[in-house]
Amino acid sequence: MPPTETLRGEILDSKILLVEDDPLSRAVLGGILRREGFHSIEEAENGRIGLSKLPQFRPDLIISDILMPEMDGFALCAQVHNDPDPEIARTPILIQTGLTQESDKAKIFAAGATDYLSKPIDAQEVIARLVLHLERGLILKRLQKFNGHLAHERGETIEPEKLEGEYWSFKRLSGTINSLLDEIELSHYDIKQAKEKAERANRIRTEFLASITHDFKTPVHCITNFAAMGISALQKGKPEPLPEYLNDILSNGTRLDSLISDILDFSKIESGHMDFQLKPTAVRDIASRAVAFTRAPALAKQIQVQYDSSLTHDIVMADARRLEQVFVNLMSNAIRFSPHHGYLYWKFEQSSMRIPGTELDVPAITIRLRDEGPGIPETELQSIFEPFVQSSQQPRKPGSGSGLGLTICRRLLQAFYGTITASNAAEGGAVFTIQLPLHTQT
Amino acid sequence: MHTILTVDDEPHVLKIMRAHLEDANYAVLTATNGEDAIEMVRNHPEIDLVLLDRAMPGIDGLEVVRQLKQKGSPHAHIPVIMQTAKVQDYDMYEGIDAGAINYLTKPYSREMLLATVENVLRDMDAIKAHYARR
Repeated sequence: MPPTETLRGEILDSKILLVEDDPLSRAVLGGILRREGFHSIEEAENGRIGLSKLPQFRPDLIISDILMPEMDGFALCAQVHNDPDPEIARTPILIQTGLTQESDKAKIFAAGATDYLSKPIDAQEVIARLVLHLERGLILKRLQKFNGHLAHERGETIEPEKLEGEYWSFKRLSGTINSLLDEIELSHYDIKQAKEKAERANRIRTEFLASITHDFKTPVHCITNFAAMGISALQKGKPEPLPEYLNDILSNGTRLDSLISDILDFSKIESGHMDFQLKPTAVRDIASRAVAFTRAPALAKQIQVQYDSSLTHDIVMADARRLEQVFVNLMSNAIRFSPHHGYLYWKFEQSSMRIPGTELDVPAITIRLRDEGPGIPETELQSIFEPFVQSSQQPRKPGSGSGLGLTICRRLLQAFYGTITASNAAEGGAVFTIQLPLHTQT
Repeated sequence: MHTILTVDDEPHVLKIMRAHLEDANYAVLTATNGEDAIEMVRNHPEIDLVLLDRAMPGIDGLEVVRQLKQKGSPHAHIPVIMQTAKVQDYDMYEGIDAGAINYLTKPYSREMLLATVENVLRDMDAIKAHYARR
């Protein structure tokens, strides 16, 4: 579609202003745009600096964070819309937000934003929304220009040399119609893609339902049966096994509870409704909190925990509560697979990493947790991060996993630009390796 | 007294089966995976019935039934009742097709378990008596 191709060229020539205080987020966004082919990008650390760049840079679109020092995203929106220059006042603004409540989104639109980008940033979403608004702006400009021509033509008598002008305006009209038709075709294509996506989502949901039905039924079976056994023991006047049955009910109830939390977390993450608050967070503190949290099951198997850290600086940008959830999950797995009297080894090291989906290399922290369990079969090192896949080594018993834990860990870490991988240690046992970008002060 | 082999990788499910069955005066043997189940059947000729979980790591329930029921197997006469948490018709079909005589879906009650087990054993006893008379 040649006309759309030229439109695409024009879109990529658009000037984009990035307003974001976190240097890592700024670099990631910039990387996504440059990789797509955008080349006129200006960056600003806060609303005030962004505003000062408007008269000279004259961006076609602004992407801004909400929470920033000096001038936040809401204030920036208001300032842009009140600009005396009507062209600047009309600049579309996309607001990035980690807030997911519908009322928060309403607030963003009320402040005058054109659209929002949900955090954690998804490259496809960024490009799709960006292209949509830039394209709309370009087509609007063309139509305005064409309208001007028409009005101009109507007011004049047709003179021989005017005919040529008439011809050209007709040509332009058919050109505009053609490109509009292309737009329509393109949106058909989008609809087709959306349909395929919906069908895929539906299939995943069906598998998801089949899987959770299975996982829910066993603890429910145990709870109802132990309760029935307890009642029958009481009726027979033999209450001796009651405490044991109650304990069995408790542990199966706990298992159901963690299953439900995992499934809720998973569906929240999948639908982009997980709330995150990215703040500077000390990794070792979070790890020791996770170790404290899992002390009871570790003590029950007399498992010891060892630390090895060469870090001088251990601050990352993360949601502390969610990072703790990741560490607790890894600790629980490690404890479950460890032999009695085994050791768990935490290791923290300075390293560097490439931000996933970009060509950006940044200083990072590598966190390793090794256990002395049976390890993970080589064929499963990747698949254990897929939803509902459990290791075939799984010692299944009440309290065992939902098959979602590691999937949730990976998705949570992605939100912090981090990665997680599994491997086997040469000396035996499974190793989970997390990498998170080091937070550098601005 | 009849002897029943119960097979499940979930200790709680095994515990429930044992309590219900012993309460009804059955002798109960247990195995926690498919390999052990086949080994138990080989070494315990007194086994009258197998209660078998379908989803287990390693050799799963379907494979255990297939092995027990295959042509020339000396254990093909032992009835197998399969149990699972899966609920689709197709799952039941697969179990019955593999050679299970009946199917229990979790969650099931003590009454359902005992009625299913008693039916199968009563039929087995009646068949044995019938052929003994001839």
